[in-house]
Amino acid sequence: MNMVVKKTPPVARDSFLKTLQKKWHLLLAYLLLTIFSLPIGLMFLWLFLTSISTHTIAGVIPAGFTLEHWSFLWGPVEVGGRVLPSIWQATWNTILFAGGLTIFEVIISTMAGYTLSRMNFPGRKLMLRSVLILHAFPGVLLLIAIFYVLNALGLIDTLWGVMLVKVALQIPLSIYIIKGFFDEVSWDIEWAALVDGCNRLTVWYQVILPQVKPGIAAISIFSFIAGWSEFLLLFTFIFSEHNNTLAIYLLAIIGDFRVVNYGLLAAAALFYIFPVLLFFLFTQKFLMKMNMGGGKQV
Amino acid sequence: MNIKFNNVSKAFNNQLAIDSLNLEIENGEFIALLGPSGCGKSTTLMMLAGLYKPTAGEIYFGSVVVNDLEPKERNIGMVFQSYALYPHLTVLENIAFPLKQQKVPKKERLRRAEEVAELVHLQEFLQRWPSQLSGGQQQRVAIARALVKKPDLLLLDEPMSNLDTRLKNNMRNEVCRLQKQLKITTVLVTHDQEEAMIMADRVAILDAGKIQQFDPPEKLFNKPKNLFVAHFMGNPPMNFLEGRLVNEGNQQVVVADDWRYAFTKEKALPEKYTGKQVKLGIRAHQLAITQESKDALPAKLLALEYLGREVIIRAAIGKQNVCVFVENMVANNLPEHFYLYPDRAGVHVFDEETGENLSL
Amino acid sequence: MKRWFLPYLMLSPFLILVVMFYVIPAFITVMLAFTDMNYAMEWRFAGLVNFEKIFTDPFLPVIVWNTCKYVGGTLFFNVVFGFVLALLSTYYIQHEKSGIFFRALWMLPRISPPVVYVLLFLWFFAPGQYGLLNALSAIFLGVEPQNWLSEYAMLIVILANGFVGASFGMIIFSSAIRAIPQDIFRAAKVDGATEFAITKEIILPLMKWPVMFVSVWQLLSLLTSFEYILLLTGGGPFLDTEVWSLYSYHRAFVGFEFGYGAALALVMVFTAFFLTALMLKLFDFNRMIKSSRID
Repeated sequence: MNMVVKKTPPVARDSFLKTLQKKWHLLLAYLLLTIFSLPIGLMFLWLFLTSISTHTIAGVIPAGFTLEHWSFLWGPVEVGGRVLPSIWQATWNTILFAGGLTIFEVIISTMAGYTLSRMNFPGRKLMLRSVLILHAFPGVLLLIAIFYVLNALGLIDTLWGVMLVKVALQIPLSIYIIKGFFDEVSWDIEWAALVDGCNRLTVWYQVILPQVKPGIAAISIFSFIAGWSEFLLLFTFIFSEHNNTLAIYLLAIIGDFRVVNYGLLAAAALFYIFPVLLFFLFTQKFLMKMNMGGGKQV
Repeated sequence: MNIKFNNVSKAFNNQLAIDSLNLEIENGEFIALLGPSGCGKSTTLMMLAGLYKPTAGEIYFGSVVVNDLEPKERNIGMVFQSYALYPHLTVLENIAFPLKQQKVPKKERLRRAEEVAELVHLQEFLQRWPSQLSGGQQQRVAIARALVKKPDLLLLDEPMSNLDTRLKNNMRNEVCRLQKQLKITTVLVTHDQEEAMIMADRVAILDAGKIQQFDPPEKLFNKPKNLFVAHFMGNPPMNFLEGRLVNEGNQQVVVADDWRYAFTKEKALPEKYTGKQVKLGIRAHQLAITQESKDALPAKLLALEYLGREVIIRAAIGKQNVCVFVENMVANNLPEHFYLYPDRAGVHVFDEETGENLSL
Repeated sequence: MKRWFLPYLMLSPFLILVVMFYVIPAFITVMLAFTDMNYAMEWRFAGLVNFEKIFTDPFLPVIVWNTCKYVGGTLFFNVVFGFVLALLSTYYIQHEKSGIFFRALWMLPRISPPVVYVLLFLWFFAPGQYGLLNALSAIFLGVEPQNWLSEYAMLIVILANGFVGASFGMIIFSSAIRAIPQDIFRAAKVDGATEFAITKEIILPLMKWPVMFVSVWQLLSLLTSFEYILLLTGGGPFLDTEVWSLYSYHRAFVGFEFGYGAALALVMVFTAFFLTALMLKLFDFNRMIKSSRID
């Protein structure tokens, strides 16, 4: 057997300067993006650090470790001479609101989305059109009239009432998203199931729904985040303290933020935002693709 | 169960996809619907399945009109091009699915599913997910699922087109074996003429929503009813030569600028066709190379294509190109000009206007 | 009967919601606009009084001007920033993970609950020495603390909304840039184009439709949304950041002039309808409507 001795050919190595010259676009791009994004990153970092620090250096840099600001989780807290109500009531309300919203959204949108995507019936075009129009149309404009409707139904100042309003405002987006998933399911599978003895209702439930699980996950997460973050509707239609959600609870603390210690505020804010961040971490790739039609907010 | 289409039409948005179709399928027969894409063969199958409802006419299963019956009320089995396995169910659950819809008790349906699985040699894969199977195995699951409820009618929608050649041959044999064994009336939709010819007892050739011919494969090939069938069947396609049918003395002749072709007495066409523009249709293997001009067509060599044992010669007769099958030896020292002698039995005459085969 | 029964059964929860919270409220908004309903919640027809009031309302010129500043400024920020972010994170930085990291970071303001997001802004611009910006400028510039929120209210409102909105443009422009075949860039480079030339001659012209879409969509949402302003400044100081939709809200829910509030909202409803129709026409949403393949 022959031994082959490999000679390394002389490699033309770019000098550092030359690399710089070639890649300066890239460096500039990173530099610019970093500068632009710094405020966002810093704000959230600072929020976190402040919540576990005893004091700040020069009013800017948090220092000294403590968990004291988180004490609202296990005991009553006094702020500005007033004892804060327990955060758990608000948390429970928020879970109820966001969870209820999610369940409604999933049930209603999978039913409507499937129908619009895959059934022929008189008025189908009109229905599809109205979903699109409602999706683009800003429902907040009708807030005043919705107040009247809720009042007439006796649902004002109830979480259920506001939840219904939120479902209505959110549902065109959910239908729009889930319809896209239904559109992608192969017709062969649906045909096969019909031939195998299903009717349209059992096809939907037994065969098609399992195919759009990712879509259901998407609208669930969307709805949950939307419900968890909701402020305006709750602020407008809820008056009783026992119905408060975390958004309103937090707002009440901010109310006199000049006297409040930032640490408590930061901890409460983090507590509130935590589930959202968690969901976001797991789904950000997907969210960024799906957000195309989701621009109802600014 | 025998099946009958009586003047069935189907329109989508006022566009006719099927135009007054008449077709009768006998009990236990295996037929194929063959045609180019968009010819209406899939639409026909979907109407048999009940997924599409006819716009006009009636479809009979036995003596029952099934126009308005839902798919599940028809007792049919269907295999799709994509197999359409339910990805969230295991192989066994997939096969048992139709029985579950019929509310067959769990124990029995699993037993029956296993039985059918054995029939298509799937015993070892029952607990796998569809995504863990090869194309051929998925195909078997789809067939098993279609057969499990003992259907009266089996529908196959391009079932082999996603398989490679070797598997395709295996599956064809297997499906034919099963069909003969179970004696199920079967309808196959395909665009692959080879598949249709191999598998089906009779083949219906569709074009533009109409049946062009419905006959056993051998007849389609040797006795095409019209230009479309003649052109569609066979590879390479039939050669066509345009000319005019005239009488020269007492002989019937087709003439063109560069050639003439005389009919023998017994092959002569009825008088009424005289003067028509016609196309002569001759298959590639029914032309022979000769150096004699008598009764032959003058040809000029264009190109040779070697296929191994045989050679396709591309030649020009006048302005028209033809291909000829010859053996390797003949092709080797071919002069530029030669003559082609058509096998008298293999010459078809088509009316250029209507496409009808006048020589049948 | 059978043909429409099941579909409408499955659509019914959706349709009930639409009737309850879109159709009926739309009618009520129209009717309210012709009444002088107040906290007593009594229907009393008032003719065109509310609409006359719109034209004579002394605050309205300021509010219209604010709305223009707010919508125009934020829109400009969103489109320009959205494009720059998309360009940098998808074209210049080809390394996918880095690109995703930056885009995800920019999604944070959008997905954060408004209350928390606004809290961060309030903090940053807080008056006195504990405000972040004041502390920073004391360290680096040695200047006295300022009350940023009252002096630069509109600018801060635009910035806050802009940081939220930029991600919308960013996502749409990113996918538009990614949709450009790589071969076009390679061909341009072979033809000797610089990165700048590629940006200007190839990418920018292809952004025409995405820019249109983002602009109209955001115009619609900016005209009608006021959540962040409400939280950040409440429209103040005085009326410095009071925009049309917020004014309508304030009139109805703070001043309890439901009639006048509805009339103000009605103007926006019509504007929104017009923009929605324009958008559906421009962007061919019809292609979404495919026919069912089961009879």
